[in-house]
Amino acid sequence: MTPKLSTTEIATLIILALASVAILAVPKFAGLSLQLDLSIIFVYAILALSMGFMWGQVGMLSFGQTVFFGIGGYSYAIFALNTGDTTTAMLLAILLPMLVAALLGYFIIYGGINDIYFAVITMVATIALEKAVRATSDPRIKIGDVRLQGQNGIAALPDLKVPWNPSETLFVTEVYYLIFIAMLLVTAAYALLLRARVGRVLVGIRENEQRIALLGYDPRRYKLLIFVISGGVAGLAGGLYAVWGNFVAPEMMNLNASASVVINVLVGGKASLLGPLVGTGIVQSLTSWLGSAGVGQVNVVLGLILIAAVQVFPQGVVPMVSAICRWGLGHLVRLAQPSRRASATGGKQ
Amino acid sequence: MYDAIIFLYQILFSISLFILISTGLAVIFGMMKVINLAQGEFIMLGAYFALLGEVIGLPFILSVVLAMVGVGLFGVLVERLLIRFLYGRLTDTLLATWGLSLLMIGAVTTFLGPQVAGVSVETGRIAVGEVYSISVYNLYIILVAFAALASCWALWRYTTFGMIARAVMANPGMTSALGVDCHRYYMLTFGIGSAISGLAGAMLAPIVGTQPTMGGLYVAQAFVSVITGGELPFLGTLLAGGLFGTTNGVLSYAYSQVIGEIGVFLIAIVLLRFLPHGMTSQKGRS
Amino acid sequence: MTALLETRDLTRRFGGVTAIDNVNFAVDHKELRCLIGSNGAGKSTFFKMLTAQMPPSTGRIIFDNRDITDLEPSEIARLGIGIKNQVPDVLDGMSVEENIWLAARSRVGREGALSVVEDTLALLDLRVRRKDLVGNLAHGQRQWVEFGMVIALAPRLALLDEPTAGMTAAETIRTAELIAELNKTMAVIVVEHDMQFIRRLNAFVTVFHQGRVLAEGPMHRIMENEEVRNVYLGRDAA
Repeated sequence: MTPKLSTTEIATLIILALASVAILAVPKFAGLSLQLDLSIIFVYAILALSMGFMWGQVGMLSFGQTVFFGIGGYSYAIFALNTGDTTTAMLLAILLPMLVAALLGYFIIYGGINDIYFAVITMVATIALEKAVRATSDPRIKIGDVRLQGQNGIAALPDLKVPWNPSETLFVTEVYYLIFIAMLLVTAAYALLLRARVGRVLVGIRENEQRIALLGYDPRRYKLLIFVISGGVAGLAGGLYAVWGNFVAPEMMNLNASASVVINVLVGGKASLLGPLVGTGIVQSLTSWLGSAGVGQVNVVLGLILIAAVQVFPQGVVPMVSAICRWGLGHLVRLAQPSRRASATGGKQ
Repeated sequence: MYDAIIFLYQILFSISLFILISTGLAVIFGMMKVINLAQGEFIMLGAYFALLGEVIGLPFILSVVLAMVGVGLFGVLVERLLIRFLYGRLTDTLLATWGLSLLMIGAVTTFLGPQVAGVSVETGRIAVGEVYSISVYNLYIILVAFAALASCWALWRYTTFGMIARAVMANPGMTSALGVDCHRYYMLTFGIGSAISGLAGAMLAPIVGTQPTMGGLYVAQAFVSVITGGELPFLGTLLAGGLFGTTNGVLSYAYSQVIGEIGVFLIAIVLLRFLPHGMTSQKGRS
Repeated sequence: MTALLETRDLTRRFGGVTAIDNVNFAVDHKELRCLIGSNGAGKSTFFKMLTAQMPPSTGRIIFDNRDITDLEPSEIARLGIGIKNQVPDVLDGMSVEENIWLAARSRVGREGALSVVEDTLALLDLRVRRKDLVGNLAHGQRQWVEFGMVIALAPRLALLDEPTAGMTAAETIRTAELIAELNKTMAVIVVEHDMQFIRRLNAFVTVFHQGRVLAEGPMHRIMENEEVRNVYLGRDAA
């Protein structure tokens, strides 16, 4: 069943279209530094989407999307430095995290551990991986010709080359467009997935996993599938991160990074696909502004946001804003049609 | 011969570290089903209390007591101000305590700086054969770890407090109908779990030092132990501590500490595939 | 011809309590069977074991000559057993038509599923509510949505646990008609308390008591059975 576009979906499309026009126009009037700042927000938005889709639509709480983000980044770094082939490196940044997600997911999803344990175990995975990468500072630890260099990370990564013309590389503005388009494509892909049978089954799993099983769908298969897909999306974000900064480091996978992903999703709201994007925009702008204003520990701010989000606005910003818009529209409708005051509520499902 | 003694000692020490780190969480998560992601930071706070004790000139043993009391009271405060609004909301508890964890790391970094500081204790070493020696302090750690676990178990198993606390956790509605003030028991249980974490932090401080971000690894180890331990928190912690401590000890001895930690994680993942409810169960196998 | 479904010494214990005690039970292709028994007789536990929502302690379950005891719920559903649980077990956050579509789409293609949804909605008179979230419907209607999911799944054996609970008299009569309709193409086992309803179905009856099969036979025979009257029908028959 392909449902007709709902009001929310139409609103999302309009907002995305308007934002796209503005964002595509940015390089015309803004400098490289703003383009770089926005690019990294888009990278984190892709990462947040990979987490928010699973949480909001399927009810799977993956606190370890940074595992795949990190593996994606390191895959790009190591392969690109070894071979100079950045196209294959970017493909590997998607495929290797999918492979790891398949292995990790098989054990924890097919074992049937509960949702909360799933959250904790994915979080532990990112702690373990970060720890492992940090321990590679010994100069003898190499993959191919590339030293992993532990907590210093790997710097001086090659720029992304045009796949069909490897002598040409992408610079800041092109990377900015590339990352933005990647973000739009990932959002679109998730939206299409949601409307397909797989997506309906996934939403059904969120609603009532047992019932979905009794209808003949194996929930574990579908959960593993979306875990692997989202692992690939997080890996893509990691690869783009490496392209953006020509740099990867264990910080990509530490607890702060994974907390940021959760906070981005929570602030924007997990119910829609727009939520993680908007949330990332708000939180990342706020933290980088606080950082540059010298407010000291960003951790304190992130911690407070997280606690406040849970206690005060658990639904996130996007549903709150859209509720306010509906309320406002309702009033406008009533003012415009005084004769139909009683029936016009403006509320739409 | 001496090789074997040292090897066994290292494994025992590794098991003790797991138990020491996990017992506080076993109380809070195992008994109350509260998933406290700030558990590692409670341990961090304990270590800083030990540092404080040293700075103001307390003997180490009093520093440890200070850490237990300090972190215990802090836990009571956290329960009153944050946790009690979230009982029964598992995901929200998870998120709010993660926020608390970030907040604590941020606050400690802001006030005390990000650097590692050491805590020193004079205990000396015991010679084992001609080549090896064992730090007496590490023997104390082994002792304290098992004593902490055993006392918690005994407290819940044999005292009136423990009996009522178990009743409160099992059925708060019924127990409060019998005239028990459930809030007090939640608060005290959380406080005791926190105090044990404070103890762990203080005991660890002389071997690992203090650092605001030190909690990350401990929270991982503690959750791995408690989740794979299963429904009986104290027996589960003992079994999981035994399994993972041995794994970690053997792998660390043979390769490196990091390989040991990764090995623990991989074994835990595989174990959960086959025993999703952990190694112990209240009902036994059906 | 062998039975469609057969249980061999099926047993389920909860701690010291034996909820289902060595039950040997068989249902033929396209048979209509009623399970009756007082609360706690083990009827719902029995249904949950047949659909792998709960593993049996011991014993085997054979469906269509195949041992299904150790299969997953989804595999059993694919082999052709559909269930309506006792408490409405639906997807509350999705619309009526999506609920039924998910059932239909699990066995037929895109086009086929749409027509199954139309037929099922028409059959259950739910067309006007098709866009409503199931969670917003009244209890009786949520039961029908779940019933509709079983219809759309088109199993070879439908298990209906108290299909008329919370329904009006008119809805109950309609439910009996629907069950008769379903029974033309599939075997149906119905758990019910409502004696009027069971008489209306005119089915072969199995009486459960304390986890065992106490008696089996046509309804009028069961009503005459002294033992059954004592343990179960006492009040109703009086």
